[in-house]
Amino acid sequence: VLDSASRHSTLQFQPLQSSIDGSFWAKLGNLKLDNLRLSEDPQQITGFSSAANHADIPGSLLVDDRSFETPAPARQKLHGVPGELRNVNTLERFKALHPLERRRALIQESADRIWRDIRSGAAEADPALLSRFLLISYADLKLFRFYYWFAFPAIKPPQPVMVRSVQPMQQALGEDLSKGVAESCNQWLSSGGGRPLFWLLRIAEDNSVESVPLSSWQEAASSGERVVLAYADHSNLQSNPGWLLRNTLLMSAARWRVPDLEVACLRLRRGLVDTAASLLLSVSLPHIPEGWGEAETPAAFGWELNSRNKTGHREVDLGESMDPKQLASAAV
Amino acid sequence: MRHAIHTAFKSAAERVLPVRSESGFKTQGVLTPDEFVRSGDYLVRTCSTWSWEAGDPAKSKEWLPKEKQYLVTRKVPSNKRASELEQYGMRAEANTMVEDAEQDGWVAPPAMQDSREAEEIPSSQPEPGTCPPKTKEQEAGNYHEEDIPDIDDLELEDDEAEKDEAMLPQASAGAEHDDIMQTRTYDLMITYDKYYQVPRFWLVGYDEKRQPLKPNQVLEDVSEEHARKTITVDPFPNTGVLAASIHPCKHASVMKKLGSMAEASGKPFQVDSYLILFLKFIASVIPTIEYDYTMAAGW
Repeated sequence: VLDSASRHSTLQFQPLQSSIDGSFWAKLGNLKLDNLRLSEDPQQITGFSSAANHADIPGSLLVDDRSFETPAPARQKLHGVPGELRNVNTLERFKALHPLERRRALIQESADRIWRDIRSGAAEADPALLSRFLLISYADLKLFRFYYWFAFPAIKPPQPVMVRSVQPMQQALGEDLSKGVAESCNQWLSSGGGRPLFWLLRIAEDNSVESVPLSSWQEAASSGERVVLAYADHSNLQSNPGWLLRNTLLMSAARWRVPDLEVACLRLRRGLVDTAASLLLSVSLPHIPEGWGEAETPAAFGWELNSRNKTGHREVDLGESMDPKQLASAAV
Repeated sequence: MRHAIHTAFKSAAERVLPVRSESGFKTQGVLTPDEFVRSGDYLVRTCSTWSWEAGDPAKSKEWLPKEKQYLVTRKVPSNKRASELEQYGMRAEANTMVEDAEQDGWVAPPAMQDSREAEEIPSSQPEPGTCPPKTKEQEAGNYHEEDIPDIDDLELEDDEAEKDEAMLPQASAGAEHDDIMQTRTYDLMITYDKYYQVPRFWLVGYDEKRQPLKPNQVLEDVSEEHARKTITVDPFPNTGVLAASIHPCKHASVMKKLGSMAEASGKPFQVDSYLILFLKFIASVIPTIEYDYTMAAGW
């Protein structure tokens, strides 16, 4: 059933929101004192994406003290994705990263790696590579003020992805099948922490549902079964999926070379997949011409907007939570 | 200052005190670390927004399993402030129950009745009925705010976003997006307090723009009755970052009372459901934060 209202319009994605826990800055402060000192070398970190769990609040990408652990920790309800932290030593050097040309070059570096991993097949084996992100920052460890800017690179396909239909999953698949999908997904997500954001659902003729890793695409697609891309979606909107789906759709077009695809955008309520809140999205994928993006990575977008929804960095003042002087005076 | 001394004393005491090994949840309302883990496992199974967190391995407490250092539920909405809610009655059923339990005030202090512990550190007996005193700052609600000017708004070209037709346009400054309610959110944590031998509840809040709330703003989401009495600001044990917490000095007596009330009404008080009951009690302290503590089996 095609939803005529949204049929053949450009699919738009809800931007991803970042969420920095105070423990991230505390840990970075310790690392700078003990190891990094004045080094501005890029640090490999892990961000943790979560699916939307409330009607009013989208999921987010969390970085906290555990972002610095290697290997990346597997955590319940969170999906780890690799990121790069570029922390610089002065506000001037932080500002120097702001001009458009500089920002473009930075995001393009991350996008290069994503595009390389899509083309090599590495991203199918490890879907976290599709959501690689970048964080630039300046940490004022005297005043405990932190300046930062996230980029979630999305590589732009030659033509936009078009919506064929988008409906609540319950409506699109019917009561029984959507329940089967939810059960399979809940089981998949709860067995083993740190599941990737993307996997596949194989729906057999008898409507039984099986969750399988993204890497089994070829096998699943040639089985003749209905294959749906499953996505732990941070978006809470009724007709828009989350930002992190973009690179995966590009990969589907470039690697699997399918003209259209069904995506189950899974949202949670009280910690479990909810069939009414989740979407079944059907999209038309662009044709990727031979040789497209071979010479250089296509353009990528995705610098997060600031708290006024403008182009710009974000700031946080944690003086009251971290400053030992203020700690002492608060305890008098 | 008294709070600081108490906190320093408590952390020193925690280092030398043995962990509680004898079950006392029914008789004293306290938990052993094993019982905390068992009850936490049950909470995670029944209320699946909660999960175990390992935290930074460097700050691990050895009396708890590495992967089960504390419980967390993230980004819980709080649409109203507690004072608004109090005008038309609070989060009802949980509250009546807890009010009953609190009728005589928050009576007895948490029992440190293991005589061996008491002998080793006699002064570790918390004074009856006292929570660590509020700091002057907290009482005055008067937090130090140094005015540091934001770095200049740079003239940034944002033509890139304009060229990206696949990005859903975001409402600009001030305006609310149709589908995204502007709401405060909270990360809520439950640790095991070795000194008081009870769970301890922590709150880290964010405003409508996802900026961290200052501790005195957190107080706006605590019921008037509890805000001044029971909230303190302390380093969160697994990160060291300051956070608001509900001081645990009265938890044991309240839990003991709630447990016996439940039993009196024919519901067995099992160690598994300790944390569910505990969260029900906490709901009366933070009536506007909509976390999940309900479960099928009729508490």
